[in-house]
Amino acid sequence: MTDIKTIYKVLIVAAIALVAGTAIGFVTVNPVANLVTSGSNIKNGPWSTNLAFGSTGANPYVKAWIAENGLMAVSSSLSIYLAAYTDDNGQPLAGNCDYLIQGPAPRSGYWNITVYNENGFLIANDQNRYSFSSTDIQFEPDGSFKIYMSRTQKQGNWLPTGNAKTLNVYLRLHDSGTAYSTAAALKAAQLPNIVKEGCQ
Amino acid sequence: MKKWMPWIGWTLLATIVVAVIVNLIVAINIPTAIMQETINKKFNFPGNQWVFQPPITDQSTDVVRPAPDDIYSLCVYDVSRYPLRVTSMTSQYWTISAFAMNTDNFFNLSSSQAKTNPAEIVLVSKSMIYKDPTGKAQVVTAESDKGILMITMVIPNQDALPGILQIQKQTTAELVK
Repeated sequence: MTDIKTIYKVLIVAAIALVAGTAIGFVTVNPVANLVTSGSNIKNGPWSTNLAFGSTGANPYVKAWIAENGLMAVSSSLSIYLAAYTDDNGQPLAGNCDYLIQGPAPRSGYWNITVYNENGFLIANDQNRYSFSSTDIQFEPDGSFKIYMSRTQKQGNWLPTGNAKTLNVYLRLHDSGTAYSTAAALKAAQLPNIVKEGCQ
Repeated sequence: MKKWMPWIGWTLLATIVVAVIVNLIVAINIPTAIMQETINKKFNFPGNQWVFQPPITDQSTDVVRPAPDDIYSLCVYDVSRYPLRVTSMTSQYWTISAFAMNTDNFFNLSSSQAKTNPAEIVLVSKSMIYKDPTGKAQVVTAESDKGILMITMVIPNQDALPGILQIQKQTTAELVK
């Protein structure tokens, strides 16, 4: 009699564990992927990247995160994508605020800076201007650059932010040789600042 | 201690073990599932042929965070039966990348690395042994028999776009039978 009771108890434990465990396992995939990916990110000011993106050796959670957030990301041996979701002070980039992105030109054969809305898509604007690149930006006399990110028109390199609620900015570095090929090099690199100038 | 206390402990432990296993299995399968869905719904065009994507605009929502200065050509490859020969004229900044079904980016070549112009590669299945008779093509072993090839060409400025579009259309893909 005791044995049958024990078997029933084991079956109940197994059933609860299967149902609850499966549910918990499913709903926690994205939080775990976010945690694992952000934990292995390389940070420099507001910018972050992960040298494992696109890599065949990346762990399953990083691969899952990439599949959901940047499908077909290429390996860092070809290009490095740096993302910024905050300004230099760590405040989220808001669509109703003006920002100045400035710094020395990255040490890459080709680079560009693109702004996206809260869904990760380009922001509609009358100028059809979504980015500035090393081939079409107006540089300062000293070789540095300034980009104004704002809903209202600015002189110089203006990235319109339209009706976006929140913003995220990508800096893509191509053909960089060894300039940004390691975590140490990326952490030490002088990347552009993102400074809030005011909000509407 | 109550008699049922250990059973609560066993239930919690078993739940955690199942959750960890399910979590890992789902994470491992997410890339393949998303890739398959993308091919079925967004890149649902004939296999082993290049499809030349128009310039990116704010209406482009096939993939998140598209690069607006780039123009893309996509080819859903299937090398399960025959190798696939690809030729592409390179431009100022040009890359070709190959993605396996689990999204691994297993091959890249840029214009600064390409030894010939047009660049030539032959993509082969892991189960094939192939030697390029011309000796000009780079033979690449695909990580999975199906996947996606992507060529990216940078548009340095809008004046260069017509020339880039012309170069893009000279890209070819042909099964080596």
